[in-house]
Amino acid sequence: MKKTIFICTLFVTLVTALSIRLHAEKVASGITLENIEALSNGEGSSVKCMFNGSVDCPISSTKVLYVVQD
Amino acid sequence: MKYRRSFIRRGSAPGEYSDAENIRIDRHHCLWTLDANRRRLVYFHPGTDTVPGEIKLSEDLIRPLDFDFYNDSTFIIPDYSGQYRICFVNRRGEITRRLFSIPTRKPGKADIPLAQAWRSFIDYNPENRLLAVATQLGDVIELYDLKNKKLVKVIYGTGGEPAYDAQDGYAVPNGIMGYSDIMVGKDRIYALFWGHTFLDLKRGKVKKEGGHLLRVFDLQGRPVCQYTLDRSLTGFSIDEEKRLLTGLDVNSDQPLVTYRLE
Repeated sequence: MKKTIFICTLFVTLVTALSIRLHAEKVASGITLENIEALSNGEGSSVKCMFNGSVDCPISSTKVLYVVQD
Repeated sequence: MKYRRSFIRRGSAPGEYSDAENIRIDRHHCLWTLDANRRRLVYFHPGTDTVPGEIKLSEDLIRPLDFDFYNDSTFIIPDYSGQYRICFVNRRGEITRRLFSIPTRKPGKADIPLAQAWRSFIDYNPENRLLAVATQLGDVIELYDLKNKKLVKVIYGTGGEPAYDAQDGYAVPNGIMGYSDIMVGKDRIYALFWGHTFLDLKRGKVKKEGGHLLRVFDLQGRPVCQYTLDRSLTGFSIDEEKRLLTGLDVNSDQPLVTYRLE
């Protein structure tokens, strides 16, 4: 009986751990995709925004000191 | 002048804001600000800061970067498409009308890079029905008579109109930093001018943020005088009766300064 309970508990624990890991990977994958998209917005363009300031960066929603092109 | 309280907390949670482009108080004493990145106008009733109201602005505005009240039901917001100069927006956040065009003297397309380069600060006085528009990246002020829906005057200063390179569909400014605030008074127009070049910025020659020239014009756009301030300001408000300017100096730990305009 004890052996059966132990196996059941182990099974539940493994399934839970696997589920958490899969979920974490899914979230991480979403963040990574967003990062890649954000980077590609900057990398796809030769326009770069530098430092904090008062000028509206045309490729993002930040205010920067100046905008340059490579 | 004394500190009363802080509000408009920066953040991404509900009830927090990513940006406050401008702050205005309407004739009912409500305080308004524009969260440009989230494209919404937010207002607070006097004496409260916990339950603000907000107006979600139409995506057709693309990127609203300033606002003013035209009347109780309509806002004025600079156009960002390049096709027009200003948009009238109702209390549902929808564009009801677009007017005028960017007064560039250079040939080219009226597109978003043009609007980015001509990004401007506005101020409207419902008493004289005059709207003033000042460019951030150039030395240009436009005056519009909104009663008769006509352009009164374009004031091109020695710094010229906004200079930029269109690159990948974006405007890369390469001229000067122009104006950062403007106010239409009873019979004067006040504008805060910076004047340094982006080349000087890149070379590290500009040590402070802001401008120290306050230019004054009459309502026909004729220059009246110019004040040279001993601080670099990014924004201001003027009490014309008391002839008192209150300015924002972001370079200082004591950022609020006042000047008496003699």
